[in-house]
Amino acid sequence: MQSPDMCDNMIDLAFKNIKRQRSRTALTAVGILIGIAVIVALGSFAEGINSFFQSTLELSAGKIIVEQRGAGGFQSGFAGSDITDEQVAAIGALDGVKEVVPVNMYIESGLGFSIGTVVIGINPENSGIFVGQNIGLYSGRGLEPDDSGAIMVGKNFADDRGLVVGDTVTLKDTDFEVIGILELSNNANVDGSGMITIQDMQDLLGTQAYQILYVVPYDVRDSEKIASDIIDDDDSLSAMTSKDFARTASDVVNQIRLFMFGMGAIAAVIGGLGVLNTMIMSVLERRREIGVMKAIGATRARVLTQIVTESMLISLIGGLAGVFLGWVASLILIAATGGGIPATVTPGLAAISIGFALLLGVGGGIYPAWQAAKVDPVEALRYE
Amino acid sequence: MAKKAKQAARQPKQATRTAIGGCAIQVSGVNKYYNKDLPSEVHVLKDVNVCFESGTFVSIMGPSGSGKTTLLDIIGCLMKPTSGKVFLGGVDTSRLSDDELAQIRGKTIGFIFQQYNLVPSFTALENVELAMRIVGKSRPYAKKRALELLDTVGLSHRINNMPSQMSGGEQQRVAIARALANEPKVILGDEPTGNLDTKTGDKILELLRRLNKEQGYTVIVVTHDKDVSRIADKAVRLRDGMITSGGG
Repeated sequence: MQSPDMCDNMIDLAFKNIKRQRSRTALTAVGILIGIAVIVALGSFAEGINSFFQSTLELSAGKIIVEQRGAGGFQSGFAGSDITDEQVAAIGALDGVKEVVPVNMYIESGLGFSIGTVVIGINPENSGIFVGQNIGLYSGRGLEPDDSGAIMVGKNFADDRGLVVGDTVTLKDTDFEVIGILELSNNANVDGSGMITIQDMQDLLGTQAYQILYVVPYDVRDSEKIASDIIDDDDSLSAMTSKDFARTASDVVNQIRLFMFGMGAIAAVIGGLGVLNTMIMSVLERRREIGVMKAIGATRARVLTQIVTESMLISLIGGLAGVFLGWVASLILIAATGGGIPATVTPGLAAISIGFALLLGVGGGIYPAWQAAKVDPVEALRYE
Repeated sequence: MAKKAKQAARQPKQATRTAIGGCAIQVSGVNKYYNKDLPSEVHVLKDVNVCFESGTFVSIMGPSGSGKTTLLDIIGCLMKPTSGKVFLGGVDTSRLSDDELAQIRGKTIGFIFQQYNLVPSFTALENVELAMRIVGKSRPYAKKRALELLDTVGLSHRINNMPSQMSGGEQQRVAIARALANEPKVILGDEPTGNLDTKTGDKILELLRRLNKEQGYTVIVVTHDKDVSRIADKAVRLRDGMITSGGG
């Protein structure tokens, strides 16, 4: 076990040594930086998607989501999905169905760095399936069935736009008065969106049809059967249980993570080779100096840990810069897609990335460190 | 009890001032071969016996190829003899592992080289601190002692200079300060004045002599320089790997 003084000496000497060839150190760190930044940016994307799916899953738990087959997804605002009142009634009549909640969505992508807008149109009496029964009001009042030109918003929606009760939100040139702001729910979908009545949404979108139906079963265990019945009854519709959704979400997130792993592996090879090359050169150049260090008392272990410390330091510098750059890239990703792609750099992701960078440092430094430790001081002192 | 005995056996023994028969270093029946049992075998040292007494200034002299540098490397624990024993403060160093030898070098021996061998990107102060920091001394202690040592060798005004900003003599004085850093028992010099002009070389020799006479360091110097043998207490001469005078 190294003493605190020995550790302090090693780190301080490592700093001094890597400063001797600043350009080479910087370029080696850049190799690590790029790899780590890619991992962090992609990782933040995966985390954001995962978080989005989780929050959506929370809202849809136990329910069946019905939309028109072939319609666009969330990003297109479910364009092309026009479900009629007759179809709603037919589903409502199926065995095991407790209620059918029609929902329309208005999605407005942000331009440049502005925030995107998501507003849900729903019968306020059914709003509990979105908001949850335990979420209270931060200020104002809840949306009521007779409301017209009124909007209830989540906490983040209000904070991002600096809204208070009484302010106006404009959607497609139509003004809506903020009548209530919900408490923070920690569900991204609830906190980041607004809610108006389904009638107001139909007027806004210029359609009497519905985009999505949330079908609530009496018994959650009947979800699969009800979904199957819906499709059998009307093949123009698609029905997804929360289990299906979770499976799809898991597949998507796993594919992103696999891609991220692949990119990370490439980064490992490139970054690690860079460190290896730099440390081999460094040991070669300092052969005589290493011989002197051994002559004046450095053991093999001391020399080995000194070289590994230097390579870890270079990797740490690259890793920290890479995490920062990856975080910036995630912000650009969010801004460029108007908030459509949520990218979150979690402390866990940052820690794993730094840890990976340090591992690259160890991997790239261990061979040259071993070579340095084996240096014969007598030969090295006579080395030209 | 057995565990403590085992632990004690693993620790390299410290060289002490109480040497066998007054010898700081005793070389006994040492032979050294390079490339032993190969066609290119060279018998560099042949049955060498010599006592380097504590507190003396000894020169090792001989023509090129006589084995004097090899002898210095062996008594300095940089290499082990092929056969024979080397006692440093009563400890047979010929049986120690490489790491144990490194620890002994760090604590007991101060080296001075012909080419100074300072770290080119470290200042004079950092070069002297290095010797202490690689054996685990704290930063404040290393700095304080390095400043004292550089003052001893007359280089207080050069502490922040790089080796490239100093003359050969100044660099060698920094190297001497570094050699003294861990309070060695023995200072070993391999042609310490070889790269210096006569006047500067004399100053270095004077410094080494002062360290020997005033502070009691045992100084052993390999040299071609007859001036060194004139100020040395004893000259050990080698030819073809054998001691011709000064041995025993």
